Amino acid sequence: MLQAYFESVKYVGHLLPISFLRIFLGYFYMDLAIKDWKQFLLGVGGYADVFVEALNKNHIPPWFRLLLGEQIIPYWQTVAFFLIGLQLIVAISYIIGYCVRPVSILAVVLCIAYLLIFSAEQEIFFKLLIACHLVLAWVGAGRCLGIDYYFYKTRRGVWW
Amino acid sequence: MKHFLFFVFMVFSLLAGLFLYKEDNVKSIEDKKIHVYASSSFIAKWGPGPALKDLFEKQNLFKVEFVESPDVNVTLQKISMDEGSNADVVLGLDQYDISRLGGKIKWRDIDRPGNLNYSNEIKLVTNERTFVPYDWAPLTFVMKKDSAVEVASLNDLLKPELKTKIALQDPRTSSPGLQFLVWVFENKNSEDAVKFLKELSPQVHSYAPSWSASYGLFTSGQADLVFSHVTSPVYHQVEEKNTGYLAAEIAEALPVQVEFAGIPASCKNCEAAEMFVAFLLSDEAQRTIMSKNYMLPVNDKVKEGTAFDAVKKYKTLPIKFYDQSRVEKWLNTWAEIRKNEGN
Repeated sequence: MLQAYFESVKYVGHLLPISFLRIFLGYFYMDLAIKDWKQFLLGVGGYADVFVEALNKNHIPPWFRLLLGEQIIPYWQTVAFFLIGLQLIVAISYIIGYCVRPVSILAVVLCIAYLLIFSAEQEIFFKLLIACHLVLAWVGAGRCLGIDYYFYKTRRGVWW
Repeated sequence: MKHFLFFVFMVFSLLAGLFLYKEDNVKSIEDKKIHVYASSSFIAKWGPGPALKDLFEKQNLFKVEFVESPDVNVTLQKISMDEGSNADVVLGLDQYDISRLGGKIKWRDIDRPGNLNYSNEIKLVTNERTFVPYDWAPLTFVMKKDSAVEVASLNDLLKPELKTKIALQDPRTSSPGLQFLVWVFENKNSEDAVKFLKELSPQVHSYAPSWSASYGLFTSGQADLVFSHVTSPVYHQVEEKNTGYLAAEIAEALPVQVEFAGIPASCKNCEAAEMFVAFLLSDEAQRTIMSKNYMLPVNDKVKEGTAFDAVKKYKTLPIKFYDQSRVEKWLNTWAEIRKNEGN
């Protein structure tokens, strides 16, 4: 597997720049997950604040406002745990290049959730992130400098 | 597919394991901690928060964890919605926050020392059962001593030489801004107040979203007057050794801002929270709040021999908890005037 990891540079070297983007995004999500996890353990700030502030925003659709008030805020710890879990999945997957295609789709879903809860000023940033995730999924970015290459070589298919 | 599902399962298992392991440790620490929600200026390095935390922790076994509360409305909304909220004390509530937002959550009654020498101006609110006042100050217009304009009444604000030279705050987002609006309506009948506010608009440089933003306009020279606490000149005197500022003496009785501490009924360490609130009234804590927050102490004797002792006694309006609908009506009138400006 380790041999395949480095061998990938030789055979799919044209994907190398995309792989650096993938690893950088992995680092970004890891950093985010660690910060959010610390606040999650403290029980203050972080997502607790984000959800309540989202409720006061004008641009969120009514159905999401209802969902936020009735389901998400009363159980914010469960939702925050789930979101941090997703961040960690994206982080690990992107850094080691494992299951990058399905995880990219998961990351797009995560970004859509961010678009709904974070402020309107951050909208462009999350849209750019979505574009990055779609590119990673499209090219199968885990196949270069990633474990996905090993599975791609042995099994083929759309998952790698 | 199974690789992906297995991967997702493993990550969540790892996270759950970490959570269960940490929760035991965190719980034992949390039992000895109180969470105090306060404004960013209160808990900043230069604010009274860090010094109060050190003092309290030296005297007690409990640790103080400050949580930044950017907005009282959001904080109370959060506490009301989160059953597991760990807010033990909320600081920085003023009369208007209490009357407009205080009903959002249930509050705990607080016992307080009965032997305090409260300032006469705030005695009316010291019997409040659920909120404890810890500092206060009248509000007026602060200006430079060498200013050519004299302001001795509300109507003086309409002088032509003050055109675009007054820094005020937006009453919807700033407590001093709301104090000013109420002051106007308290001193004039409804019709005159509306007329006055309309005539005042061209005099105002801008309605800043916060007190600090409006004060910045004043200190940078963009405005000649700012609506602020009568203690603001003391700040310049102590911090900058500059005695060139004065708080205008206005014919109309001045509005007073009182800051209160409250304990939500959902508090986790309620007794420690009561200890903290009682501590805020101690001489040491009052001195710290006074010297870092630049507000007057509720305990009158604390300011003796300090620069605050020289602050004049101003004629002040009696402190009231206004009816929410009345305040909302005034705010709507103000918003309407602002909306129609330029038409």
